[in-house]
Amino acid sequence: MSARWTYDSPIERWNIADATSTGRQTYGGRFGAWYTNQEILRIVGSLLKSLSEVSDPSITEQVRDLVNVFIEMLVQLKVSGYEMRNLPPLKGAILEDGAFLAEWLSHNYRVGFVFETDPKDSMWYLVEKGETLDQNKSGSLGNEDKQAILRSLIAYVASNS
Amino acid sequence: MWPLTPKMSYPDTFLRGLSTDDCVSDGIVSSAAFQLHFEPHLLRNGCAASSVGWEDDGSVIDVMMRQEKDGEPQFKAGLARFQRESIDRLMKSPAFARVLSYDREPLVENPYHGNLLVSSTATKTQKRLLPGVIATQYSEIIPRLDG
Repeated sequence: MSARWTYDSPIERWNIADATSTGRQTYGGRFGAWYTNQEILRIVGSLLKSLSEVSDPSITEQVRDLVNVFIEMLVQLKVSGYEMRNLPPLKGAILEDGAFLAEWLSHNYRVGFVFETDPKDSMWYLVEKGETLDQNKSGSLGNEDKQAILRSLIAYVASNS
Repeated sequence: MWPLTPKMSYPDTFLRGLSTDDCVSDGIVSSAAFQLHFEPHLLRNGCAASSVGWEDDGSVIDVMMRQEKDGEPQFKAGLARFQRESIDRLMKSPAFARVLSYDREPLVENPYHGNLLVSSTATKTQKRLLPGVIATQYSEIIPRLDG
């Protein structure tokens, strides 16, 4: 199942959710598709709105790639019965040095992505609130394992939300 | 010489102003609340400085809430309170040893003013990670009462 996101195309938004329901009677029907679509929009909508203010095409492309992976994962989670409304929304902000911050926030953790013009400089982090600081993790997004990293971070958020 | 933190007394808590809505998301302080500037002309003793207000007494809240920028309240999203101990803990951690500190820098208009300091010698990863690590340590958000 592939879900590509074009945030300025309402039809594609609908198709994303419709693809979720096709052949899945549990989530079949237009209401299920509408609900899934609304949940996805709730989670990534604010990020995409912030992204629309980014003028750097490289950063825009990187963030769109991230969102596409997110949506694929969200659809898979929904199909497997996960309740998406537990997931916090992704927030975006343009940093003063021109980088773009995408952050998933909870009271107990934060998952962040900092996108820079050169994809090799883009990075991810996971910060957990706790007595020790050993849980903090970070790494580059400019390598071949990017998809695996994103999936593991999304899985982390899904299991801790 | 590191640490830069001068040997002077500090209260248990400090406040960080939240200037835009990007600084808060669903009641949680975002990493965007701690943007660090490493441009040479902005460094303070070789460090990027994030302004804070040391909570020596309750007046610091009024002082910071009254601060204006371009004729409008500077901290539109309120103030975030931090326990100093949480920063002390970060300063002792191997991940951030010798890159994080704080000081006092009293101003005429704000005698409570100080800074969290991040050394320009920090690695790029540390510079990107620290805003999130610091923001995670907040204990509460003090909203504006005037809207």
